[in-house]
Amino acid sequence: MPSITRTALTDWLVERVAYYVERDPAEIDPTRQLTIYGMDSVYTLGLAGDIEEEFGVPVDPTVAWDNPTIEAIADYVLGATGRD
Amino acid sequence: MSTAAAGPATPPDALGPARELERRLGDPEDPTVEFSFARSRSLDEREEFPEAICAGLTAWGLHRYFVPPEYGGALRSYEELLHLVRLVARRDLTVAIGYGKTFLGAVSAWVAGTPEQCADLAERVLAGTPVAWALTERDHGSDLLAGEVVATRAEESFRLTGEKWLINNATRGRLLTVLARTDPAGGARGFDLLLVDKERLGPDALRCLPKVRTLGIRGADISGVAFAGAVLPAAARLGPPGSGLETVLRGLQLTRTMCAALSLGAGEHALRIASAWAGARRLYGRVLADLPAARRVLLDAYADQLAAEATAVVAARMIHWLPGELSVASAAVKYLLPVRTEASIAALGRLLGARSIFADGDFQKVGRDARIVSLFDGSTVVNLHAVVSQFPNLVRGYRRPRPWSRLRPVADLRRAVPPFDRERLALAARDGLTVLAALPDAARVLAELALARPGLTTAAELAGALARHTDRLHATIARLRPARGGAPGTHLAAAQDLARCYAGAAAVTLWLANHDRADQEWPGHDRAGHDRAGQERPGHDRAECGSAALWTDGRWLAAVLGRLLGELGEPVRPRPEVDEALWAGLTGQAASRRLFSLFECELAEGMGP
Amino acid sequence: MTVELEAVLGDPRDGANPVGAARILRADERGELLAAGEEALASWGLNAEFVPARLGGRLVAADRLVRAVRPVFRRDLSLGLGYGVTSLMAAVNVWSAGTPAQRRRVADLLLRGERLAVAYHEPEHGNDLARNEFAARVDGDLLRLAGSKRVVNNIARCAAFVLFARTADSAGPRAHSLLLVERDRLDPARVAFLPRTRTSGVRGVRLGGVRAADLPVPATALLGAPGRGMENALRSFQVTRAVLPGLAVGAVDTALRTVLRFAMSRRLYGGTVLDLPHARETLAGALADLLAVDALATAACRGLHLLPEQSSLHSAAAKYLGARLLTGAMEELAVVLGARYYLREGEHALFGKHLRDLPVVGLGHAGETACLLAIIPQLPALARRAWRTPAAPPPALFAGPPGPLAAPAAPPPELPTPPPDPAAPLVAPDADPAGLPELDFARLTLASAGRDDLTGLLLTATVPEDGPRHLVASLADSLRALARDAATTPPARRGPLADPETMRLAERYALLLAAAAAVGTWLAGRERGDPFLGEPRWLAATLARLYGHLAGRPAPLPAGTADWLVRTLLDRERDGLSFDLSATPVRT
Repeated sequence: MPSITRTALTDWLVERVAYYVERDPAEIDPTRQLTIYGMDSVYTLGLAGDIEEEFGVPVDPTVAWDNPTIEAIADYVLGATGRD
Repeated sequence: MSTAAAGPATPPDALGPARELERRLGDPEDPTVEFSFARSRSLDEREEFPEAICAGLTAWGLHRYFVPPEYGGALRSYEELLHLVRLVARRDLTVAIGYGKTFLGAVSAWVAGTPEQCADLAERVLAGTPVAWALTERDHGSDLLAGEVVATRAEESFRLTGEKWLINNATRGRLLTVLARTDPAGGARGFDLLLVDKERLGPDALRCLPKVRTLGIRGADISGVAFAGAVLPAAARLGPPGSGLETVLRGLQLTRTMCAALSLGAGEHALRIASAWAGARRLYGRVLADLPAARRVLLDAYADQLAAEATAVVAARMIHWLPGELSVASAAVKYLLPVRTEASIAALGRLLGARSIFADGDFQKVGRDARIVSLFDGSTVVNLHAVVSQFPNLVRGYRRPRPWSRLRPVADLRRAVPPFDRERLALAARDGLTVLAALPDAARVLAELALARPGLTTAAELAGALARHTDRLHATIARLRPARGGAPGTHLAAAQDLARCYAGAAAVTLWLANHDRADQEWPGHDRAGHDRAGQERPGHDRAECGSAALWTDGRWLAAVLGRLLGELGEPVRPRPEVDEALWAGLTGQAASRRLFSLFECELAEGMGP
Repeated sequence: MTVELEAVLGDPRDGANPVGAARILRADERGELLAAGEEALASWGLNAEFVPARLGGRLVAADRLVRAVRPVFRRDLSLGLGYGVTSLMAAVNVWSAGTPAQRRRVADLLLRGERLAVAYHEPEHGNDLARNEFAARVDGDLLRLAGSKRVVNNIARCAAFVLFARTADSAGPRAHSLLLVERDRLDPARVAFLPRTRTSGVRGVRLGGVRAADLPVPATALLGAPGRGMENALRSFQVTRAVLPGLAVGAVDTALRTVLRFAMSRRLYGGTVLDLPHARETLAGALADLLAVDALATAACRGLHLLPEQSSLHSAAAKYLGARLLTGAMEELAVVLGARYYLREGEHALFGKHLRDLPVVGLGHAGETACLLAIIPQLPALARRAWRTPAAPPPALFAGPPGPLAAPAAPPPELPTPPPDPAAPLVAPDADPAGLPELDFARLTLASAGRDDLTGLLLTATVPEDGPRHLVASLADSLRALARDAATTPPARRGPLADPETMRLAERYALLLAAAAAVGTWLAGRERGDPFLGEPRWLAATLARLYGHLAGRPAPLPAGTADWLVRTLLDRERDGLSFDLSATPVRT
């Protein structure tokens, strides 16, 4: 597994979410709830697969439910990989 | 000509309980029989709930199949449940829905409840108590996260306030599983499921809303409930705090798959009416069914019925074998089967002409009733969105090809299913659908078989075409940008196609895993063609009425794939040899009063009360 | 000037309106036609729309009839079929085959507000008229009737009915005749009116039956020459087949409005339903289909006047495809309405009623198969002639009438004109701006002899640069492919033994005819500078939908068209205009 830094992970998540919601990444605030960007909860279930594919970390589909901001997701993923 | 079957001496017979129930219910064409077509039609006209019929089902023990075996019930196999509900649905969808609702009401406990909660609920269900599932609200429909029914936590209790509407059995149900907002901010973790026992509520805590008049299933109890500060014990919550939506989405995976039984039953009933009529009616100097265009309608409806059955059986077995893929499989099934059945019924209705709307006939009732299936438990659009939301998983999964042998246990009906393991349900299918990932290999295996058996060539060619189409579809899907909700038509169209590819792949899998056995016979098949009383029935010998001929040379598979590929926009040319086999299957099963099926199931028509 | 029917019937949503939606739905629940609705139509003089102007009525042009009566269908298909159209179906037989005295008599009956029925159907024979058995035997100057007819609308409450009866034992097309029978002159001992057949759609329509046992009627009851019954019936079908789909457009207009309002007001997933792409695309697609049917039905109706020799083709295609497209659009709209369409109560209940009622338009004695079978045998000749050297349609085919209903022309004085009926006042004489010749029933023929001036438009039209050229070119290719395929249909497959592929040829023909009608409507609208009809986006969407049906798979709407069509819907809803080609004021 490639080493993941918090910055790289957060940037990647911002890009990904921006792609989903068709906005400029600059508009995505990692500390705000994903739902305010119009991301439907059923559709956030797909984010887990993206993370797993990109970083090789198995995460539960509800990752964005229990960690509703990009920062929280990043925390969770870093926790799951045992690094920070 | 047959080879010894591998597998256990007495292979499981998933249709066994259904066959037994059917005999017990008696001849539906005899109006003196409790659960007859005439009785159901008259209840429907009067908009009366079929209480007596439901009591009869409980007397037989159908409710036991709604309870997992670990809690004393008989729900060992969802494949068995599928066939049971289908046999009820083919008589009257109102009964199947009104009665089957208890399973929907209870499913949240089965997937999220504690052993104590499950045991308590099982006891009630086994005692015949109707249970309802209260999810939707008047102003929010399928948008569950907008729900306004609120449960506030106070010490060791919840106070429940608000209104649930368009709830099946809201009034009759004595227990209700209610989705309620427990976090004022809402969100995916802001809801919980609460099991409400009406009898343990204080006076005025709950009011049932009037029955809503509907187009079909007119006798059903479609109503609502209004809670006014109903106090529930803390133990009423199913699952950990905030798990309501998740549990609903897990439970729906089971119920959406089981909805296939309703479509199968409705399709069966409509086709039986239409084929009987077309076989007797003369037009332009011929029997209507002998006019090529009319016969085409019947053959297409029959092929679609077989396609639905193959899809449903594979999906039902996936509940046991591949529960991690159900999130997408159940949505595909719940989208596809109801709309195809509705289309089938509409085509048969055009064949019947004015007769299709005569109020003293059953056809109009089936047509109205069947329309409910695409509306509840997640509508067509909701299910398509559920498929779209998994496009990235589907594409990733498809890029990891799997050998079809991986599916042999799933689809081999000689293999008993393992116990259902709720822990393996997942909200997303991270590996996509094995049935699709294994399709290229399955098509290859079929092509190899066809080298030795030229009769198989048609089916093998069509399977190859399906595999190529599936391949292109995944490439298309990979190019679509992910949707965040409210997907556009291009995405929904791709999801519709994906569901058809899934259905076709399921059919290929089912044939491959069972064709060696079909050369012999299916359980329930009576070798000599005798009826229950041992009397020989005319036109009842094996070659004519059995399903075995459908399996020979993959004929049913070719018919099913031809229909699906046509809907996928692939050019499909007429296949007279396939039509001939289908026609023999349809007329043979009609004449010998057997279920329109890939398998063997004698119906009670003509057996007397 | 007559008051327009739309105003007479008023606002359907007004609970106090005696012919409003709530009353219509209650009557439907009871399985009755809304009595107040029948009264309103009678006092407005609906029947006058079915009586040719020269006989004292208001019937001048078939497409105007459609537009005048469409308001009934916007509200209640049962009322439209159960009160109005049945009388029209009967009357056209009399206009086309009757003696002057018979015509006068039927005109008088209708203008008095009486109902007519049309007794064709024998359930054992369905659309197979040639095998009908109800007999009329000549006995001196009497005809003796024996047999039964069923599923006949209004048979038990009509003043007179047209009867299709066997007058010779031989098989074939010369064995039947039409009769005009006055109900109250029948010997009650020898005739029985059978119990009502209840239905799950058009529940208010009173379907009944008649059984005659050696029932005498005067020989003068014969309508047209003996043995010509089949021919005359098929000629009359051409009129009703052209008119019905145009009327049914009214029901889908209302259904579309219902779903649009639902989509505008219903909140879902943080927005309105109208914000969801699927809902927008469905609404846009339904509008495109509605316009396609209106264009096709209008061309078929005007064709009755302008191209009567080709009406056997055009009207059969309009009836078949009109019913199919409208029913399909309703089914798609139902998906947007979701569970609400399933409820028989609440503000969307009228949608459910239209959904139950509409399929009936595809049934009747000009059912789907009968329409396709009317087209199939004509296709090879079209391939040899019409599509090899395509002719241009007469410009008047697309010249109108969109816009407010113009006053019909004064009746030419061939027959004595009765004094104007106060219930059906004649409107001020005015030249027909669209220049339609009078409908000449004698020119309606049973086959077009290889002529079809409408589909040829796909091959000959010069599509201006702003138009959907690629689509028109693809459709022209489809027409050429149809010509090739039709030429090779074996004769044995051109009748009831047609196989599904041959049936499909007729379906393809109907789709291409609709496309040609849409192209013609657009070109004419563009020439007139009509801001809507001359706009290429409705055409592009309509053609794309039709092309999708030809290809056997729904096609996405061309870029930009869905939003434009939705905006059109919203504008027309705001302005209280109908969604059809004519964008007329509606009270719905």
